Amino acid sequence: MEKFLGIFNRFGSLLLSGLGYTMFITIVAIVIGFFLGFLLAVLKIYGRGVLKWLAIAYIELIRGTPMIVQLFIIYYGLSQTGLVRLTPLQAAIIGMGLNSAAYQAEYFRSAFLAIPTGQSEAALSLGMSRAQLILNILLPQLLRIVLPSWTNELVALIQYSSIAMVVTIMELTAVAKYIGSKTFLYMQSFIIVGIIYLALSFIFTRLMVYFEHRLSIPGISVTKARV
Amino acid sequence: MQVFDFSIFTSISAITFILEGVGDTLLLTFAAISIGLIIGSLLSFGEVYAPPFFAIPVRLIGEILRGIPLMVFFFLLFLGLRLDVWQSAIIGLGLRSAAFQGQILRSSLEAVSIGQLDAAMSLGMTRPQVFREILLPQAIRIMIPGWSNEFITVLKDTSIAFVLSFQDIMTRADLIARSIGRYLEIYIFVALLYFVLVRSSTAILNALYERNRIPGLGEKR
Amino acid sequence: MKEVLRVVDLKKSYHKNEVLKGVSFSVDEGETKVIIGPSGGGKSTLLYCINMLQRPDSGEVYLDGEEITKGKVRVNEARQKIGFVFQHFNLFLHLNALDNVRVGPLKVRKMSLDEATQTAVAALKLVGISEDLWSHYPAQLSGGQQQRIAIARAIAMNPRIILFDEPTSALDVELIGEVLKAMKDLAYGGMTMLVVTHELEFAMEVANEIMFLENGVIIEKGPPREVIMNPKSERIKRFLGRIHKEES
Repeated sequence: MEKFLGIFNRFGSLLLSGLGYTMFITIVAIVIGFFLGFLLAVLKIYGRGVLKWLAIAYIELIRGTPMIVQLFIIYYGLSQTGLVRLTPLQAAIIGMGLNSAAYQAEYFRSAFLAIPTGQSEAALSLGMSRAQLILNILLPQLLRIVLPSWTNELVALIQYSSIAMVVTIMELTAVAKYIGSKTFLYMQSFIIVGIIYLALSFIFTRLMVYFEHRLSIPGISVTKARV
Repeated sequence: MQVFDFSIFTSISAITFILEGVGDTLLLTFAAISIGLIIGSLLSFGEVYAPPFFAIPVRLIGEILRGIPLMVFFFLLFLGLRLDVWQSAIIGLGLRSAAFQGQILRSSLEAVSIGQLDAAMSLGMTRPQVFREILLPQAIRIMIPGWSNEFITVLKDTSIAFVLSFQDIMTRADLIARSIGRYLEIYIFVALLYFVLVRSSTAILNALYERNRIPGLGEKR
Repeated sequence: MKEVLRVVDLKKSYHKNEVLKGVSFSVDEGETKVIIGPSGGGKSTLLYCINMLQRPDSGEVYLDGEEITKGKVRVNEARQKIGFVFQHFNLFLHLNALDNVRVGPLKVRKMSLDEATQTAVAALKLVGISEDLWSHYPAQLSGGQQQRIAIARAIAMNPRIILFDEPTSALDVELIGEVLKAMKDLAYGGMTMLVVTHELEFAMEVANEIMFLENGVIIEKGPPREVIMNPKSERIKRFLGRIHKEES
């Protein structure tokens, strides 16, 4: 116990900044993933020709390869070309955002498909355009349906954000490793960050469940979430 | 300096060095999935059938295993408990997968309707018979799609064992990339290699699904 | 006539809600008895308590004179002799039609595969399921076909009595007839049956006795003609009036 307290005393601010990085990367990445994912889902369902196939290829390629490889391509690979130079933080945020987009696209797609087609026909029969249909009728339902999957994605991203340490970002896991190397209290420092991660997952899950209840409308079914 | 220089792949040794890691990547995947399946089954049976004083701690363990990043696990085992690279990689991936596989199996067991269990008991089946003849064959079929996802996740997550310097394709690619100073080409190559592994596994798992598919049971999506 | 089933003062509560308040009756060999009554009156619970899928709080159930509600009795062995047909069929989804019927004789009665197959085939023929459907899975069959297979599954165990829990109420109207026909054939063939149903015509045709169960007690029982055409209590009159209205 003393050892744990000792770590907090000496490295409290470092842990806090690690937490900051973890949260910042996760939240920015999930927002990027949200918008890009929505676009990809729309293209995959409603798109035609090249655009549709590009969306499908993107989703499949990202989902078919590990995030760590994607991050290395963006960080080390791109800088080698000399065309773009990303800071580690930019690389991590972009890499994770692009990754999350592919997964979120699939959540959106199955949510789209969960809305009965009769509603689209009814909206079109009122004279709505396709864009109006998506914005006014489908989107409000979609967001509610997708919420549980989104919770899963958020919890998964919090955990996967630890991969950012391989591009030298001092997020939580990297901080724990650093503390371990300074104090040789590896066990204790990783237990501490483990508990922080657990707490984050717990808080975000609760928060999302709260939103689910607040926003729920009777009759709009909720898809079973599964990463 | 050229943007792309794929001529580096004319050097066969670089490619074969990476490809030699495929065996270890797959071995790690299978080992972790197997451990995960065994422990995950125990976890799910514990949660479904055991009395609350046992089921609640089991659920808690599952929550903990699912809520902590794989990388933290690896370091706990490798730096904290000082296990070797292979042990850390297999146990870390295996335990985490156990929590997910347990969850998949549990929801599959719970997806079998109570009515069918009543019907089985009305024929005079004993509880072990109901489990063996009715519950398990259905739960396994219901879980195959979710289980396939988990297999793919584990396959991709083996790359995280890179932080342990586990000699899989990821670590080997990184070594080569650094030694010859060509990152983009090597990482794209290794990405494609993973993609091929993932798609082949998906194809095999889908074939398994189709072969055992029974109309009305565990339909995809 | 030999008595097959006797139920004595059966009681069952859920929490504080007393669903069965002391039900007694018996069924003789070859008889068909029909239980009618409003939903929530305890009809299903009564059947579930007879084969111990739910444990009665008190009272006794005798099968061929032997009490099966006693703690010592192996419930599984008693259940082998009591067939049960469910409202929602409850066919095993991973088994095709033939295997659904065969699994009992094979696994519970421990018959050889040949013997179990013969038994299952005979039962399937009895309920009019033709050979081309034997390899179909439940999800590929109509409700009427599923329920007839469920009846065959019960028959194949060669039970002393079969309990039917509203076997046609989950079916589309046009499928009810084929199930009732199978049940009538079974009754005329000498099977002992206890049937919970709203099908009054079926009751008139095959029942030896009708029992009216409401609020956990049997209010009236007697030959179908008397109970249906000339009921003594006001409540049955009202209940029957409702059923006739629904049918027309």
